[in-house]
Amino acid sequence: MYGLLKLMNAGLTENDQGSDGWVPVVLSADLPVAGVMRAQIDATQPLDLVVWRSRSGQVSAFDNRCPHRGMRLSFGFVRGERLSCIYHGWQYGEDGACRHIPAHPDMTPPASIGANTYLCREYDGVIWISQNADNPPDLPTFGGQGLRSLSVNRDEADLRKLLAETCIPLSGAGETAPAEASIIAENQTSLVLESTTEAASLQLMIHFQKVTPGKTMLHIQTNPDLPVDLRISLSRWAERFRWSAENMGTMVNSWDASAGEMRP
Amino acid sequence: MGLQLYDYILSGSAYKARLLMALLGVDYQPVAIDFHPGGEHKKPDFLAINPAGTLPVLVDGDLTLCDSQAILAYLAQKFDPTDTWFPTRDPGVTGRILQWLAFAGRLTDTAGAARLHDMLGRPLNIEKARTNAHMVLRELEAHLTEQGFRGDNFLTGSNPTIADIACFPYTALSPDGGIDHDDYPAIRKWLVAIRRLPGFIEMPGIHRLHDMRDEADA
Ligand SMILES: N[C@@H](CCC(=O)N[C@@H](CS)C(=O)NCC(=O)O)C(=O)O
Ligand code: FES
Repeated sequence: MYGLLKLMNAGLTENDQGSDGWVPVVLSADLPVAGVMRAQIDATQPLDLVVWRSRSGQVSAFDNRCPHRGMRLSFGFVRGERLSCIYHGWQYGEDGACRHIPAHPDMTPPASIGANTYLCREYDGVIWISQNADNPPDLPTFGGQGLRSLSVNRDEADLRKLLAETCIPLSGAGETAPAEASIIAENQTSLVLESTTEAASLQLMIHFQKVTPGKTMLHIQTNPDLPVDLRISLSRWAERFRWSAENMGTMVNSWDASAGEMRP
Repeated sequence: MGLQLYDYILSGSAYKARLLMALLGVDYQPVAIDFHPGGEHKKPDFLAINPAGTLPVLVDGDLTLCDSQAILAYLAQKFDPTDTWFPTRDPGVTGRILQWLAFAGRLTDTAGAARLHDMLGRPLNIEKARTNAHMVLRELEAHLTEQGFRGDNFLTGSNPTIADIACFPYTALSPDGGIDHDDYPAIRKWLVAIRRLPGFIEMPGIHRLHDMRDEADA
């Protein structure tokens, strides 16, 4: 029996996220110190962002365009508490302000030069981005462990439907057959999938990132302290789930929940 | 006469040999081939050395090797006294290393081809090359994810081998062919682990980690 997730505080709520909402972009463990990555978010105004973690561990998100000549900042690198552009080395602090211009080392860069910033919060093992939400993402503290992030060429709405019908492994190395799982909590950004048998109970928390039209990133967390072989089984389950999702033909509106081949 | 490497600075395949020789501290004499725009690798003088017309080629005395994976295996066996870069005692380990060497060929054929298209204008069905490259990278990501669960940072264990060196260049260079790493967190971590190796060298498009540089050349 694995430690159960702390879902007691009322579960997930159906809150109005809309464009004010928080979007998950990466599992905390996948953005190490001095890590720099690109994240795309499909919104009314599609976003192309750089997300980075400073030496001290602070996470930040900017538009992925250097204010100097437009180079992608996600090609840059972290120097201490600053992100440095790979092209001409302009450096930006975590507030986006330009702090250093190598071609003019003695000049204090004017306050008007800065990268366009987004709110960026690390919350319960996931890094979230928002354009203007003030509150932290409205999720219970789950205490989960990051499993992996998985990009799937399928819309989020389809994936939610498919997840409602999936079976997940409860043991490593195929010792027991995958067991039916059900969605026990769901909100705008996330859902919790649970499968319980007499022997074990497993929960997967899945956070959705709309990346581009037709492409979704799943950020998956599990109960803490799962054995390695079970984590491997779950990662393989995720691969199979993606295969099913990407190879389903015409399911968007006329999807038949009883379709047997959905079961991985 | 020592080792000679027929080389081209932008070749990811030739970089495999350069990188392993740097990591092993092996000296060699580079022979620059005008791959682009000269196309020297497809002309008779070079074809006499490697009929396949590809780079790199390693010459060591009487021996000529024309495949980057074979070159890595040869260099490791000859110059790695610690036997960690290409361990051959355990058949399972050897088998897995050879499997990843073959996998490296699929990276060259997909991500490498897309890069030749984007950088040198090679005619190619670029959408297909990119789709296939993503399929190959998904395989790599799944494997590296599992390695991460096991606490292993590299393809076949906790130490790097020639399998990592073989797969590294065209994975690292794939953004040059329009194949981003956004979807592949385990690959991103593995690329950093390789760039962190003592003795790591750069090539155009693959930089040293910033904290491995001297402050002076920042
Ligand atoms: N199997 C060969 C393939 C190497 C290869 O494709 N090299 C590229 C350069 S990176 C090449 O020479 N291509 C010939 C061409 O595209 O004209 C190896 O791994 O060494
Ligand atoms: S484009 Fe970023 S510093 Fe010049």
